[in-house]
Amino acid sequence: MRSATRIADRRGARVEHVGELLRPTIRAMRWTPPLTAACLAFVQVFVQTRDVCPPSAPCVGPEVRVLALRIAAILLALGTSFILDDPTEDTTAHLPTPLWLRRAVRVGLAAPLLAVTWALLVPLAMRSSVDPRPFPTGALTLELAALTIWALAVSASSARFVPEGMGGVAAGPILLGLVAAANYLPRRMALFVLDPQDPRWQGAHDLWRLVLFAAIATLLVASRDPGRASLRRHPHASVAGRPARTGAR
Amino acid sequence: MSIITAGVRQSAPRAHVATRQRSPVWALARAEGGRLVRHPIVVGSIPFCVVTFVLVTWSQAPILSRDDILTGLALLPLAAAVLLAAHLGATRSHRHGTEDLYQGTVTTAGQRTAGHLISILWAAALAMILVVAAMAYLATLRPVGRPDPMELVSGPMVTLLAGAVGVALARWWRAALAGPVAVVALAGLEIFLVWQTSAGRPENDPNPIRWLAPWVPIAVSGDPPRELVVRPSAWHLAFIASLAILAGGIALLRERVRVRAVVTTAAALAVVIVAGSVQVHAPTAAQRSAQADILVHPQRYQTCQTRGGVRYCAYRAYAGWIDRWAAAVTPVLARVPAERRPGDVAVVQTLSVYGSDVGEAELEGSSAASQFGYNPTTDNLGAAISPANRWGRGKDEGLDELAIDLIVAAQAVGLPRRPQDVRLTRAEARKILAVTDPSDRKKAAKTIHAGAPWDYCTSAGQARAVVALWLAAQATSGTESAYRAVLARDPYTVTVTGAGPDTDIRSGVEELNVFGGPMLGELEGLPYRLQIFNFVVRWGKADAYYAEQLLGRPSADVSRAFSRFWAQLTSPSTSTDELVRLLGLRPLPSYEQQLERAGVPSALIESVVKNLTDPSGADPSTVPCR
Amino acid sequence: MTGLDDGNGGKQRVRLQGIEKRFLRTRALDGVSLDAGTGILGLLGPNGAGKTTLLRILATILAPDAGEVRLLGRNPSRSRDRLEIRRRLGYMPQEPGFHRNFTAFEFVDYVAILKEMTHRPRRHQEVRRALELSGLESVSGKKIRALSGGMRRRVALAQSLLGDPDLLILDEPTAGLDPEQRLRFRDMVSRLGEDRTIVVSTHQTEDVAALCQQVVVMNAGRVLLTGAPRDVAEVARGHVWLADGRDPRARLAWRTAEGRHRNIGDAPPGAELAEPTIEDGYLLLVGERAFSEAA
Repeated sequence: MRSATRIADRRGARVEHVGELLRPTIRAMRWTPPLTAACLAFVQVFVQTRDVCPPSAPCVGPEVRVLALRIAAILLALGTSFILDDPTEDTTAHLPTPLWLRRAVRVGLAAPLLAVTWALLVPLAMRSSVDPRPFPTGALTLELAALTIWALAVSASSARFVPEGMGGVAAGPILLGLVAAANYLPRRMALFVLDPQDPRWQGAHDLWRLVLFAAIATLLVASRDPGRASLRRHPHASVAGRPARTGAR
Repeated sequence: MSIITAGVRQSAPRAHVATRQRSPVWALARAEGGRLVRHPIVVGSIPFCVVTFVLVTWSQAPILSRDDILTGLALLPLAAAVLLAAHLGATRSHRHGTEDLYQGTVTTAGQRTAGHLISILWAAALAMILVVAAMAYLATLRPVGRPDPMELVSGPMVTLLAGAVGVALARWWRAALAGPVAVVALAGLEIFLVWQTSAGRPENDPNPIRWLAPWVPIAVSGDPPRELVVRPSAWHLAFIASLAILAGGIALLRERVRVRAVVTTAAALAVVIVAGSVQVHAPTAAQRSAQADILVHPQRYQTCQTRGGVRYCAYRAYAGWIDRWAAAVTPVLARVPAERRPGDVAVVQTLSVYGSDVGEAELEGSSAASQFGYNPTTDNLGAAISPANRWGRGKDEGLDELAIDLIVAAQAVGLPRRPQDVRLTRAEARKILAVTDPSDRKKAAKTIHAGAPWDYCTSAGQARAVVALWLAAQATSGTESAYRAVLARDPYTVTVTGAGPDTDIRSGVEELNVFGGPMLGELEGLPYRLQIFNFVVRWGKADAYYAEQLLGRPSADVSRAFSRFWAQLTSPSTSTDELVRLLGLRPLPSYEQQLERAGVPSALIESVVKNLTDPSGADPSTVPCR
Repeated sequence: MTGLDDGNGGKQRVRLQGIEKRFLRTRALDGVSLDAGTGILGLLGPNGAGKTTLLRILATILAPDAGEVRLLGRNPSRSRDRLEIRRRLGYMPQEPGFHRNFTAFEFVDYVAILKEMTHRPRRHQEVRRALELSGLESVSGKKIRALSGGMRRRVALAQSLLGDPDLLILDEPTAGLDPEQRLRFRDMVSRLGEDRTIVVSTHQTEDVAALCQQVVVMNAGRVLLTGAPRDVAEVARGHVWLADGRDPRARLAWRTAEGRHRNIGDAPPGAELAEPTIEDGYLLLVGERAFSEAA
């Protein structure tokens, strides 16, 4: 080796490596979309859960709060879908740092923003609640996680087909399409149950868990190394290792 | 330089001269319009539109004056898609770095924006095609009513608005996030304006601010007919159209402030303000009372026909439904011996007030006022069967036919029909009062006394109930399927799970050791589908299953047997067991037998059976039909 | 595989055999085989010939559908081998992407981190070296968005030189460079090619003639010729002639600076034959397609 700058292939080096990656990744990431989405989510939750009725006869029930937080979750997911956009994806695809690690660093950097936003949105939605029944914050957080990871998964999957790795451009419409399609599921498989007291609420959130797992799996598959040997082979292609025909003629 | 290249350069100006006289805006609009309607997002939204429209109209006989509004709902996915695609289209040059290339052409940025704006007309045309297709689809399903052209154009206009918003956004906020966020924000705004602003208000006085939403449903709650709601559809169309022009103006002003654009934008803004404020007015007293008159004096607005001895009256727009009602009722009465046919069967349509713009005050004194709070013991809704402004389609038509036929059949076999036909005995009144909350007892005693009307009675165990159920079920193929489906959802067989104190005994959906007994709840609820609230008969499950056995026999045979024993079978004192013997039906195992077979301890069987055999012991408010 | 490099700078650092790659219905590569050792290999071919696909396979970004790839003595279809190859690989894509808010230094430094260079002082030293090699030392503090197109390509070149790779893959590296930059590039690549393998894809036949020891001419996903630049020129021997006008039998002709016409095609008997160039050979090799594109 001519210039001795390459790191050793050590386990401990990975942590150091990730540490070095943080600062440039923060600068490389597109923060405007998630921040804009967070701001809009605050406005939307504030307006939608504002109760003009007297506290003795509130007009904003748990269904409205669920709806407001759900719309906020969709907005946050839309904003987050842009964090994987990387115009250098093709330029840096040949580098030893795997794609999944680069994406994991990006997700890890965006997660605190998302968590803090959500942690502020929930009390904002609940500010005028006089309902003594517990509010299903956990279930809605599950929905947020599933929607966000789906947005990332769609963004990651689209990145290969959209110029300059801008998967976020395709992710927004596709995510909205998926959300719209989910509204057409049969009643017993409904994902978007509004009333926490609805007997379908628990079943719906069991389904949300599956949706989350499917999203994680899709994100992982979409973040595999593009250079790995393709599993798909053409039936007429030659067996690997044997030339199909002589190259020069 | 090659000779060939030089040749090309010489010939180029000639081609340019041929086309330069024409404005590039329309050519650009044509190209962009084609791209827009072929955009995967737009194409992908069409199945959503189709599925939405089919779903919302699937179970209803079409009413064009209601379904025209639903075309607007069905087009919302297309509108959302057009917003996204228009935004992506108008930001394409920025995203793909061709802005510099375009700036070097003779077409200005403003002309390009104008081209994008005009291209939305292609999407609006696509929306209009979908509306026409929807109406053509409904036209094949024997619709009633007449669509409002303003409502039909409203959906395509919302599509136009969405596209213009997409282009305007593209000019002021190019980020790819803008389109999806705008769609979510507009969806949230739609929900907020239409549903949330009316929370806490009376059903008949929804917040008129909902008219600022792109699409406004016929009602915030309930199922009122078009005739009873005030829809400023022309003003709303003007509002949406002017908003679209305003959005277009805002898009154009981004590039260069031109006098024409400023004037157009200002004019559009003025129309937005005028149309917006006119449409958000609550209906006037005159409008409300004009609508109330439709209910107070139905005879002025209805058309009546007599068929097979039955009088049918429908509001003129719904006259086509008389055929549907007659098709259900005629086969019931055809199986009743001619001399026993009731001569006073009448089907007179009413309209659903709930959620309409008619208030209780306007209806004071009319029977329609009871819809605001029907009191079976004081309100007399008249003798006619009164289906409202809905009728099912497909499987649901069978259920609605069955609902109406059960009432006709009950009337034919002499079962009570209305609360006024059920009079409490002294003992029954005493028992009911005994289980009434002591604090309410004194007040309740004013309406619960010997001879007072009562809102339901049980026909369980009476032979005439089996006759009535068979008459209703056999009427049409739809009623028979609906009847069998209702029974399939509520089996007669007793199931026993658990043991000891946790023993759970069920017959179909009913928990036997808690509830009053083996009644077929779904059947008695059927008339509510047609907003008929004053039918009183509750049907026994065993009777229903015997009627199902009869459905397995040739109708003519059953009809002949009924004719022969009509007087006996329709006597209130003839039991179902007697009918079973008389017609040779297969006796159903009693609940006692089923429980014994299931190994239920005899003490428990005793208490369960006591509930079953003595319904009044379990629920004193259930009085037998006399 | 016998005879191949063991990873320490032996002879055959790139060996492809029977490589096939399809994108839906398009056959991008159709049985491509080639070997390359130390030195510079030039890939010539018209647009859509499959050059970029081939380079992406060499850069381990793309896996072939069939055929065998050995790079630096390793098999890139195995993830461990692929990682080792990537540690010794430099790649400059045809259309490099940048974080435009980064300075040239920051961008190359970011790529260095992705190249697992975690020791900051040593990494910065390496980044400066790569920038210097690419002639960017004076603009290293400038934001990429403020750089010209040619400068940006040099930034892309700089990142490919990080870590002094044993295998350097350059896709259209001279596109958009001014004549001086091109000459500097030639100088740099020529020096680098003395002790490593460089694969260069280009449309510039002069670059190939000036730099490459070996040329591969491709068309429609197939290799048409592999040899030295003079072998390409030899293909046109006897097919290039000078005349006072455009010869109707010529498939392509142009007027030279001297005012005579250089005709390419089947030369008529007695024609004044000219010394063929690599460009002439290339044009004849790629045939009708090249002619139609030139037109």
